[in-house]
Amino acid sequence: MNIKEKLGKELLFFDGAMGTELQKRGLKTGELPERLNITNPEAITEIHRSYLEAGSDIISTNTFGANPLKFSEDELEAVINAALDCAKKAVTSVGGKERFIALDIGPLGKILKPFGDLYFEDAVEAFAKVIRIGSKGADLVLIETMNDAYETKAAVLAAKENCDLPIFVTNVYDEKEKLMTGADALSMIALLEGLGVDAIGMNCSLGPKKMNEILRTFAQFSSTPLMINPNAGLPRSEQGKIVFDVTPEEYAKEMVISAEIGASVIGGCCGTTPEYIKTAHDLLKDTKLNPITKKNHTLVSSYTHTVEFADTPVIIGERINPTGKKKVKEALRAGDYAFIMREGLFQQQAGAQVLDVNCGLPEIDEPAVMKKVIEDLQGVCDAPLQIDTSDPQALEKALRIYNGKPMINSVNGKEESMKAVFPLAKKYGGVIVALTLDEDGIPETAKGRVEIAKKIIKTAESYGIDKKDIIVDTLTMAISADENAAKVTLEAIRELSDTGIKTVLGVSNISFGLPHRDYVNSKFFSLALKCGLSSAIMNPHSENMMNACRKDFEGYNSSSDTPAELQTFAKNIIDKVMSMEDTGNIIPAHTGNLTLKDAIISGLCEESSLLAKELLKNSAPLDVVNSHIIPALDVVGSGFEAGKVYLPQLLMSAEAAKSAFAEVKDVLSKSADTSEKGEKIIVATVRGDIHDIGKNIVKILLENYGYDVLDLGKDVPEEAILETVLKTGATLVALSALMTTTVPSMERTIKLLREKAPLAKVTVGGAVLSQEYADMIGADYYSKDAMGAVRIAEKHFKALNSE
Amino acid sequence: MSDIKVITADINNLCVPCKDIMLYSGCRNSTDEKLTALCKECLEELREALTLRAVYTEVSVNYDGDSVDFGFYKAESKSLSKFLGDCSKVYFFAATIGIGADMLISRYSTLSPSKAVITDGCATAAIECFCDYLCSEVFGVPEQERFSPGYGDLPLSMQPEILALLSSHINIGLSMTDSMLLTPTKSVTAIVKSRKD
Repeated sequence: MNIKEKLGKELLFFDGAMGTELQKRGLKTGELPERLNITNPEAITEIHRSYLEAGSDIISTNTFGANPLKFSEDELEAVINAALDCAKKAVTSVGGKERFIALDIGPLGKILKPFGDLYFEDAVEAFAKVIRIGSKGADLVLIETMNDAYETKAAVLAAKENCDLPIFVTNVYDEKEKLMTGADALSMIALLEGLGVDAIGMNCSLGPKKMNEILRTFAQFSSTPLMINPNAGLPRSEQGKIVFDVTPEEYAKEMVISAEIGASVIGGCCGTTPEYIKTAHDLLKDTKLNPITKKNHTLVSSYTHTVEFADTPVIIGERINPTGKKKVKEALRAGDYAFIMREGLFQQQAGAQVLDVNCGLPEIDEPAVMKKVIEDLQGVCDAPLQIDTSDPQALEKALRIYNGKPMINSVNGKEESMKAVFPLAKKYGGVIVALTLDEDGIPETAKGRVEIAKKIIKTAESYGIDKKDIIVDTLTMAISADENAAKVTLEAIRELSDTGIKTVLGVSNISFGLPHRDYVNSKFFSLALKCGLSSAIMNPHSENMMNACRKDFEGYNSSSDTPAELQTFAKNIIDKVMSMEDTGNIIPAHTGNLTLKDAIISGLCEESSLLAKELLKNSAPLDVVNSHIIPALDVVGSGFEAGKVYLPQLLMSAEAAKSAFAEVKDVLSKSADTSEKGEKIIVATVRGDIHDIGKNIVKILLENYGYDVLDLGKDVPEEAILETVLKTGATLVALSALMTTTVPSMERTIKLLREKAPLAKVTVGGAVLSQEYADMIGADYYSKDAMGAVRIAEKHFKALNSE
Repeated sequence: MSDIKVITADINNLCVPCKDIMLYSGCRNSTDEKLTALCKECLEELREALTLRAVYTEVSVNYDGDSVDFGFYKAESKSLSKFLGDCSKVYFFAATIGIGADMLISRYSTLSPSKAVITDGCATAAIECFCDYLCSEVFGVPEQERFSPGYGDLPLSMQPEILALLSSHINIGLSMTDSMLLTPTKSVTAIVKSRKD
């Protein structure tokens, strides 16, 4: 029998601890316990058998730490096969009821990028190796003791891609009910249900009582069978022996509660013994399962939290999208990902709960750029993301490396679209935006759009995608072109909402071709919310829009009539905005007597931006730079060099200067003139080093002084730096390393550049470097701080230009 | 072999001195009001992101000249030998303030380098403060009396051995990169004296 046929229908018992049982038998700290599968298989088989005799239906192989990061390929294979043999022998020897063997998979012991150095795909491959060897002899895969969401996803993907076995997943929660990397229980439910695993839950470390509290959250939100393998509390020494503070009886009592809450699978972790399992088994063996019921929560998640589409409208920030946004377009083309990150963070600060990410530009490699943007964004921003692309390759790349359950924007009613999107959504999980159009175009009636929505939902179900994971976009069209447009869109929203289907609109299309667009958008948005709209893709920086869904929103009442104003909305609002006066953008003048130079010296960002704007009205952009911004930077820079200005103060001024520069650039981009000197500098933290504060400081100061800085990030391979030098023709490369262990990477980078790009000069910096050390590794320049790096750049380009 | 203990602490019960933050942020001895206010603001925000965890165990030591034998690892180190004197038992500990600090610093690296530098300073001050607390409250030794791989002639290559001894990845979420950087970055491993026979 397949374990899936029993799961969720009868209570199943897992085994208890392996590690602590081995320690009892004399395993010393520091020894790899998996080697015992080969050196002492009798002991392993004996532990398995003792659990089977205690009542366990499932035993897990002694392979917790068996992975290619700890074992050579040959030994790994031998260790896993021996572990399976031990388990099989134990099962054969006890007889009785049907038993199952779980291939046990624990964490790799390293942190994934961007906060560690393990690539996501390398983690997937490491798990895949274990699963390819071990799945042949097992009945299920148990992924356990995972304290990171991203690593959990890597293991699940490896299992999905390399075997057909059921997948059980348990994570470790701390006192704050979170994983060590920040995910809460709800976001793990969203992630794991999205990936379609068979049982979810927790193991180790809080003890059964506290874990039952978390289990209640699981029971409230999960439609997947639940599993709980608690530890026996905390260990302490008693007369030289290690004992745990939860007794078998206390443990068993809590397991009764677990079963009442809704656990389908019960077992133990550190400190639990066959006695614990037997006590629980005896108490529970006649208990009827309290089966988990299907839930209808529409959840998207990041690596820390979820956003639910429920009673309060969800705000999806629209601004990471090149369409109609010149700066985003330029940033994507130039690979200026820092700009995109800032755009994301600003939207989150303004109140966006989910961020739409669209990198669709014809001249760029969209799949590669999309992947990079998603990776970078989730390194700095914890809002769930909406992957917005029509390129299936870009979609898959993004879905794969996304750390959570994303939104997918979008599928539509065309056969081709559904065929491309649904298999990916099924594999990786996601909440899908469904556009109500198909081969015949966009229906002109609400009824037509609702029908397409229903067709999409039905087709999704045939792929195993639940209705709750579809959010319908009934398509906003410009009322300037068709006065009926708003009515059709919102009637369809109303009808869908009444049947419990979640909805979304890209609101701003409504005002296309009209003046006072923000006003029109917000009025339309308010009306849409009255019709039951669940979420909007919008600009969170618009106060009117934010007020519409936060301050003014009174909640949706499905029993109320369709708002009467819908009938006349288009006509009334067009009349109104056509007669509204243009008030223009009034800049609040609260800068007093402050000059731009003073504002920069004092590190005042907002004021610097306003004052620059003011000056630019009457002065040439380059005058503003040369007579105001640069002199201010010089004052602060020499103050820093003289030890009178501290580093954070220097940086505050740099940030203020940057916001003034942004105004200058804005004017220049309109006049097609350019302030860029075309002097390119590449900055990077070398391979193996994940500290990037120093590099970021150098970057902002170099930018301030007008250099065109290409930031390659941290942990950058030698080849990537060379490739950028060759591609851009940059003549100066600034490298940073913080640790003695990463200076050799710096040396290798310099060597490679000398060989393949001899014209490029290299300047180095970082905590462990000195002039002497820099000379030793063959660098051209060394700087002890960021101002030093600016002076080096000045010297370098002066020499270059005089050649 | 004695057992391995995991402890957690609440950052709100520890006093992270402002002058330490100033020091680690590159503002040694500054009394500038604006900087002080910014330090306080960054520390408040950082507190929310931290989870302080440590794991430790007691180990016996044998000496042979400058070679210090802990059973699981033998260190050739004059400076460690001098530090330990004739101590027969030591504690090995690993401590971290968690990955939340790295996440916040990386967010500010994008938004505001000045805040990134100060938040980094706050995080350094916080892990130091946590280690001081462990020394004085848990191990009963003077605050700064601890010795880490990389100090003096004690090689950094001892790092993986300590992490394995303490199962630090499972116990407190602490591991290291191939280049032996601890991750989360605001973490410490160290040896403190336990007792003489």
